[in-house]
Amino acid sequence: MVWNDVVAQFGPSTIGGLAFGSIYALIALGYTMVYGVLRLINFAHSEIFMIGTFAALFVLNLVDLSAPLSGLALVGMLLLLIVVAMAVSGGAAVLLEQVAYRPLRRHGASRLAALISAIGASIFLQELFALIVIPDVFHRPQQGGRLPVPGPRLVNRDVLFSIGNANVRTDQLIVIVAALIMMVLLNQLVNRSRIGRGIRATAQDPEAAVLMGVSIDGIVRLTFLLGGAMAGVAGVLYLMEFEVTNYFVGFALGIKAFTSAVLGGIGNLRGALLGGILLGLIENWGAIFFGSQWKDVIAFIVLVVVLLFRPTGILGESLQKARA
Amino acid sequence: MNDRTTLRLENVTMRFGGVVAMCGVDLRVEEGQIAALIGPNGAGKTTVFNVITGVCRPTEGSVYFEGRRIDGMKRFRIAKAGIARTFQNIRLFANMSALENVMVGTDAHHRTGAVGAALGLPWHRAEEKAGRQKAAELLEFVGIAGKSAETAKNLPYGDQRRLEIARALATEPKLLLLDEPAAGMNPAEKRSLQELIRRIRDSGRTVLLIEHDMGLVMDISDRVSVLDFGQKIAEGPPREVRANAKVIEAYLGATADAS
Repeated sequence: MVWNDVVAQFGPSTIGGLAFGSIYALIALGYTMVYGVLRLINFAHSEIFMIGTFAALFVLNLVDLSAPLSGLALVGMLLLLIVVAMAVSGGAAVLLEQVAYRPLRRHGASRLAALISAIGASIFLQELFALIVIPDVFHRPQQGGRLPVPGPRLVNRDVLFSIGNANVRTDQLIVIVAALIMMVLLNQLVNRSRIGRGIRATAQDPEAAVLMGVSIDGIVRLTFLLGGAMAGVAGVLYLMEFEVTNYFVGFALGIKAFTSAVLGGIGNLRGALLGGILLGLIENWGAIFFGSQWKDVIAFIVLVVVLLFRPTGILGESLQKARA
Repeated sequence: MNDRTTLRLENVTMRFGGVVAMCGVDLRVEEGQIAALIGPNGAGKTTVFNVITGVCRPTEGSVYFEGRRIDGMKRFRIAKAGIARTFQNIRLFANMSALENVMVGTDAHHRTGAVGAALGLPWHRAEEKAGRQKAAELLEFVGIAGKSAETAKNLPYGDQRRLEIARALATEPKLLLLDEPAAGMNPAEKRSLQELIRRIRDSGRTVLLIEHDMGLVMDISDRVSVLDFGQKIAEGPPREVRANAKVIEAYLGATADAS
């Protein structure tokens, strides 16, 4: 390993890491919000993301792009994809809560039961796409719908500008900027609105929140809707960046996003953002030294080390403290 | 029935397994009054609050609020119908500012959805502004106007109690339930709390409080009900209750055998 190589790769790796990290962060928000309100790890959240990629692909197939877009057409198309994917993923998340979690909560089932239900829902959604949606809606019945489904090229990989030796491509910039906008909007919502106060109040003391006229069921539904919508945006950005998806696409991304949430401090929105970006960067920087096949290993070693020293994650407060 | 009656409990019994926390309790709170619920520890006072606010569903009997039956209703609907409470062990939203704590209460009557809020649309802003203003007024009303930006958990104990009252008032309750509001307060704080409770009554709200401080109870209450072992043993104006032999017995434990 020559030092010059490291220097040369550092810039590009940073840009790539930021783009990856933005997607992790968007998905991590859903894990962290649901955990904050229900103390539940929603393992089916990765499938909500997967559904988002397919919602975007469905629209792109309808439009039947002949060439990559640019300028206003690109912005308009992205907005359309984002709105559709947010609606579909958000709706799917709300439905998931209604079917897989609410009945359990109503009967006072343990959190472990809800966790099993989450894993079951995750497998159900994957198989639903492999066995029915991909063969029938996307007309790819080969190998039981388990092959990757390619999407069109939405945007050219032009270099927009350079920072030092790092070239920033259009697609990377879109991912980073779009993710940033969504996070600012969500932050606005959570910190400066009735809904956000309801969510935070419920997370801190559900009993007291109810007695202040907050409907827990309503807040839980909203939390799933918002988290799902963010995963939908992540789905659009992922599809644009990788131009392919499959029924299993949520698995790896979901685990990374969940890791981001834990790294940043689960239950904390800014923690999810920070954890996502950090994970993306660390993976890519690590890959300079060890090769990209070691990415995942590096990511999880970092997670373990951080948790050894800060068991609640970087921005996480211990639960006892937060509830005192 | 008398339409000046804000709250009416009829023959309410509350059993938890084999434990009878309330046994055939009748209770009536008239509009615009300060009513007090007293009794030795474990007499079932907090259970009465839990039954009124829908935390517990009574095993038997019924609860009426302004003539409408409310036992069995969802808790947040009872809150929205106009009953608010504070807790014996303070339960603020610890990591929110004082102002935000109160705004959770004002939000109960607001409507804007997620889209309006995320995009900062005009009606959302108007509503936020109104909520913030009302919350600030309430903080002033309870006497902690200067602390609106402080995180709830960092407030001194007495201020936390006041903040809890402000938060409860923010839901615009017709009936305010105070669970041991004077607990842990010094005499000066108690006097100003007493004055605050009177001002709450004078602003047109009905108050029902649980309190151990007999001086405070006898001073401000229009009517006092006494519970002992889940049963109402006395009721009436403070002067009468104080003289009641059963009450003295329950408190002094002269012949009562708790074991």
